[in-house]
Amino acid sequence: LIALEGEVEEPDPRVISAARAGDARAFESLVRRYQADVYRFVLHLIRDPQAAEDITQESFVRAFRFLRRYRGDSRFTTWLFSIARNCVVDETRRWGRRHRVADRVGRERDASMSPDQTLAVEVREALATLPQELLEPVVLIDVFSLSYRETAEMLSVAEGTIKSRVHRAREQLIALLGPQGEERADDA
Amino acid sequence: MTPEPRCARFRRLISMQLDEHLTPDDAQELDRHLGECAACRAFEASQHALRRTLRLAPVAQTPDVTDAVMLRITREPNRQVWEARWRLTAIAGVAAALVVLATSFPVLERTPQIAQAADVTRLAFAAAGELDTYRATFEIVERGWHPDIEERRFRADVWYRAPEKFRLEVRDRTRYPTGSWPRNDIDVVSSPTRSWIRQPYACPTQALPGCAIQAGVEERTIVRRQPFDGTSLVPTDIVVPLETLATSDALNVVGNERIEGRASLHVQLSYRQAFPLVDALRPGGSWVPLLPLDRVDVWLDRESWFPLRYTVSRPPQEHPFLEVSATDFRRPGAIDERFFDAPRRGIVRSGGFVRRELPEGLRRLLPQYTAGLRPYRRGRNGAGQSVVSFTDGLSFLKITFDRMGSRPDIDEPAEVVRVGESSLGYYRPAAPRLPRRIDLFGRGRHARIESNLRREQLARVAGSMSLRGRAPRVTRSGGLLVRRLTRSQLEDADVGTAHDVLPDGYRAMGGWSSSGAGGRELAIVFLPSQTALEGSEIRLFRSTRVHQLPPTSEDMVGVDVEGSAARWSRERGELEWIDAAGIYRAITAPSLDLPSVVHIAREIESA
Repeated sequence: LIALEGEVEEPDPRVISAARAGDARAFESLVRRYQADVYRFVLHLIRDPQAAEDITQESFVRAFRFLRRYRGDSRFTTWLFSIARNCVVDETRRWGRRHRVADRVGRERDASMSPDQTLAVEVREALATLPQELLEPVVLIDVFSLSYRETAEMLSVAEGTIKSRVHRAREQLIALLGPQGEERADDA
Repeated sequence: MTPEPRCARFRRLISMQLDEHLTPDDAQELDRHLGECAACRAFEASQHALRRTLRLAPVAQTPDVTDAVMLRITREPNRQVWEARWRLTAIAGVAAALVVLATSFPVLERTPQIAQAADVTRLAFAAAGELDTYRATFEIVERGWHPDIEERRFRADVWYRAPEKFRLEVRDRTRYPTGSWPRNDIDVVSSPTRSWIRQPYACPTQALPGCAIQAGVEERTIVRRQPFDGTSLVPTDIVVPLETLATSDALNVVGNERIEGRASLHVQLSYRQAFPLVDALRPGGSWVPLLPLDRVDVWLDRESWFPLRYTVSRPPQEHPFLEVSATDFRRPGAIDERFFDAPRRGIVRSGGFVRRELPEGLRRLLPQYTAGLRPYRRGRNGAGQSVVSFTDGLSFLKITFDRMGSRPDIDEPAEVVRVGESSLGYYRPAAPRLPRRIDLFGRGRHARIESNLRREQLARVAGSMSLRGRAPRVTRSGGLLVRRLTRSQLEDADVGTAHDVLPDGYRAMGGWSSSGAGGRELAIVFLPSQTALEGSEIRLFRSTRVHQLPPTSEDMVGVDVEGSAARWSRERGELEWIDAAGIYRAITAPSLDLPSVVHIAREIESA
């Protein structure tokens, strides 16, 4: 299965209101609906599936705690990603920065992989080489379609800085993945 | 790929253009530059390709953290306030919002990859919680019903509204050779308080078509239904097969396939596990008999977990006996309530249920954990037992309380399972018309918990009830004294039977003896010790009360067991005979074939 990432749909405002008012079913539906996006986002940042699962869980528990404070100033998904990103920061502080990444890179390839899987591994490996300050903007903007403004708010940096970082990230990724990226993307 | 200094600025503009952040002036300037600079054009193409690559990269299997999150949340300090609130929330409004949300999901592409049978079970249960209404049409093709009829065709229409409203219309579209063949038209209408079924009344299949009995229809009504009083009249497995998928132990995930253009997951299991689904559209009437080990292939819709298609086959025979395909299914916003208005016709029976509040003493025994299900109907049943129920979407939980030792049904095979930290539960798999259940004992009480929740969830519900005891050793019922076998008696049974006769790994897990006027009975249940496969039990039964084999309309096979004439019911997986000493004996083993059961019978007889 190929997952089409990209813009994450916003929930029905009535569901958010119900969850904020304490409706368990509504909150559960939000978990069910957004857990895959949060997990993928976290996995891009931390690259350890087990840790990503734990952080996804933690993110929703925190989201539940903070939901009453969510006033709809930002998109719900942006708000949720901010929480997830904070959880990642906490986790990496605790365990040392991206300690597990090095363990995994370079060990994932396998001769029996399909072109799709190989491409996915190459993309993951290329992303893994980016420093955190470049990785976060490119994932948020290129994978999840956040705007410069939303990304800047989430990462607490100026919009101009985001523009510059996402550009540098893309340059580095293009250098790594090479010109064949185009053909491969068409295959995918 | 280091750009020339003058290109560096344009590359940054290319990046901004990709994000639609370019001023018209910059855009014009960039266009002009791209017209002249091949390196920057390549860079631009690469940027687009990169974004596509990032967005189209195959995703890893995504875990489902819903249960874990909801569990942690309910343990939050403000849980009491929160739970009280969600019970009071106007459910109807929220349910409508959820339907909107659910149907607006980007569909197939977001569905996680599934590798494990346990994932299938979990995801199907997750989907069922949100389901409120359902409407579907199925085409049924059946073979092997009668030698003169190559195949029969049916159309089945299903309407459902959670939790207990159900309507089924099965219409026989077969071209029979003559008009004397009975048409297998079936109707079922169920509402929370009443169920009605209409089915053809006809001769046994073997006697058709030249049968002396006039074909006709039979109607039955049940009034004052208990909540969730059985799967046959509200067979919700046709909506999402929760009961069928409840234990993933013996579920074989074949893979992802497309059915009528929809992404589906193909799973395989045996009929003995899948009967809640397979029999959902066959609640009455006359159908081809199926056997416990017949293979059932099910294709589940990856978005909704509705069954799109299922077949029942008996390899090596080439064609399936039964092929059922959904031709239309949806979640309508509303279904006219009159659809679920069950008539009161034919033979009327009462389930004896009366709405009542639970006595104070029992309220303390209610579970702390209900898997998120909301309180539903509660009252007393015809036997005077207190009944409470909980529901959400398709999922239900029902607890029946009575006094310890007042029920003689410890005869059923039960697996002793640890529930909670210090309690024992007696688990029984689903049986026709009975959902999976756990019995708990303690404080002079017996609680039976029945549910279509996942087995782990059912155990957690049981573990959250403050009943910590063992099943009574002796019960009295209708002049009978029923004794549960002691551990040492079971060990004796093991020594005498299991090691030499039964398949490897089988141990005597439970049993009982009864005595009273007219004779004695003994039953021993054997289960494989390391697994909990549903339907894998072997049960030996002996009675001095039965002097001749009870009559039945089943298609039986005659077999010789050490000089005694035995008969084999394929449908029940049961061999019965009266031995030389005049004692009735039966071996029930739905997972074994006839030669294996006959082997066991002969070994027992010669011992």
